[in-house]
Amino acid sequence: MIELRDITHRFPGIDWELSVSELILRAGEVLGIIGPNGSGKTTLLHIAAGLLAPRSGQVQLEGRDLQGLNRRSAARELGFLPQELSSEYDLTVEELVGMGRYPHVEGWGRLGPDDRAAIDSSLQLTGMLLLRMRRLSQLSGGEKKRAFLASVLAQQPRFLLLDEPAAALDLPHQIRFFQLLHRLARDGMGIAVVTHDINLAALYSDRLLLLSAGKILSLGSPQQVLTRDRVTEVYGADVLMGEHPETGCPILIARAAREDTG
Amino acid sequence: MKAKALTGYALLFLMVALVSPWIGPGSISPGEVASYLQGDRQPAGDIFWHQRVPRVLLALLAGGALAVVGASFQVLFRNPLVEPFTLGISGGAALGAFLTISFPALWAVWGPFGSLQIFAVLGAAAALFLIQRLARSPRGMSVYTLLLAGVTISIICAGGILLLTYLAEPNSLVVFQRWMMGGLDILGYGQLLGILPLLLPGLGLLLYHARDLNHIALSEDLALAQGVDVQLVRRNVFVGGGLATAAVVSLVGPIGFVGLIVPHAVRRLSGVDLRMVLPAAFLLGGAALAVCDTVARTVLSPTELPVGIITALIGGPLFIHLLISQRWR
Repeated sequence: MIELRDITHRFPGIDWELSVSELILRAGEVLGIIGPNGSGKTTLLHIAAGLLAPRSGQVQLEGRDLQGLNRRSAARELGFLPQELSSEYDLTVEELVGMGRYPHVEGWGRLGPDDRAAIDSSLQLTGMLLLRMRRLSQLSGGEKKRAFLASVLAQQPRFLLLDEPAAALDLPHQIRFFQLLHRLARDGMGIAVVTHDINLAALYSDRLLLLSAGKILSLGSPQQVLTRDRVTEVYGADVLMGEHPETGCPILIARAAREDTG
Repeated sequence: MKAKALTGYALLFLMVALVSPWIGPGSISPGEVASYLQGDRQPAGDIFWHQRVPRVLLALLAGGALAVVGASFQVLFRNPLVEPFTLGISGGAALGAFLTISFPALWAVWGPFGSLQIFAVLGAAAALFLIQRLARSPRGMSVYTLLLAGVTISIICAGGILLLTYLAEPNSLVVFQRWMMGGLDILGYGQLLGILPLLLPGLGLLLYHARDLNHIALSEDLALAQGVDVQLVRRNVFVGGGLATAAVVSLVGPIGFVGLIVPHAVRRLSGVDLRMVLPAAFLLGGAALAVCDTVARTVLSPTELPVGIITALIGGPLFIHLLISQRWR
């Protein structure tokens, strides 16, 4: 598991600080991290991934201090998919996925049979097998995200942290993406995903974490977290709540246009 | 596939290496060349072995090094317009060279090196050190600051050179101007071997980090998360490229365009993987500079043109062609 303890972090020019006294990501669960823009979600994820050293507090990966851990050995257990992914560097899908083997392969990066197997299985998982020879510039937005996810999966991590992975995708692709995360978690991976799509997060997460101005406002099952009062408090009165027709899981929807408001 | 592509570059490199020494003012026969080795010291053989061959070797080495540095820097700085000379390293070298030319008191000789070369290296090293200090911050080295610092140092050096130019005697101006045009005319192998202690470690560092650079080019956050020590790689690539550039510039002057165009050509021909691009850029860059130098030696024969003029005049139009015929890589 990944444990965050007594984390604080300040941002220049902002009067609140990120402060998380305890957060645990377990193997086999999907943890959805939601909250308004600028509430500290990405920063929290960067701290959990070891990309950013918090001002105080500790991140532990399976009981070892993440900041003190060698980057390569951390990368064998912990995968991170950033929000911004450029494709200026025009690799083929297979080359990109092969790069995920970095923490497992020393030196010049010659790939062995184990590496090939890992690459194939992550291409398979993400549905990119048939596109493996394509260049990144020839992929659609959804395919590109999946290609990068395949690269992270080729690390064969036990924990996966994703920052807005489905933001640029259309609804069917978003659904497929979250279903894939769900499946990976059932196979034992611990997954934390930052997303703006509260409905998908609620539907596919085992637990939700609602962050507001750097504090954990609520952490628990989607039903526990998404109460009417809390949603109004965080997202304002223009967000209405309903129920998912299949599961009864809470869903959020915008209020219809009204004449009396500016 | 990769090995095969590299073989193509290597064949071109070898061909240029074998053919160029035979081309130049005054014909040299294979017999004269061979008999020179057997102790028959005829002038033709002497020209071949002590002027042409070292000169071609220097062209191959310098062109190759500049292209490798250019290819690495373009990735490090995420900017396709960066070349080895963008960062003020050559500016520092030029300032050092001009100082020596302007103040004869500085003349000295140290082993195979004249003071001009020594001061060029010192100038380049000073610039390199200064740029790195400027770009250092508590959060590590930012490539943006690095680029900005490099360009600023370059401008300051240009200002210093203008000042010296204004104050200098006409004689030293001519010498300096000739230095700025770049030239590969060396005698014997001493100077050539002399730049290796700087050049080889520099190039070695770049090649060593080729794979890491691939990751950084793709996404720095992803690279970090996949286990790349981004800060270390950045520093090593900057210092390695700086050393190699300093070594080359101190001996041949700022020969432009090879370090800018060859990397683009290689990426266009062989993809973006730096493990392929760097060796290929070395081979193609070396061949390109050797060809340009052969043209420089022969086009106005018996007079020689400075090779910098040729690389700019051939390279410029080629680059424009690249610009309008393809998307940027």
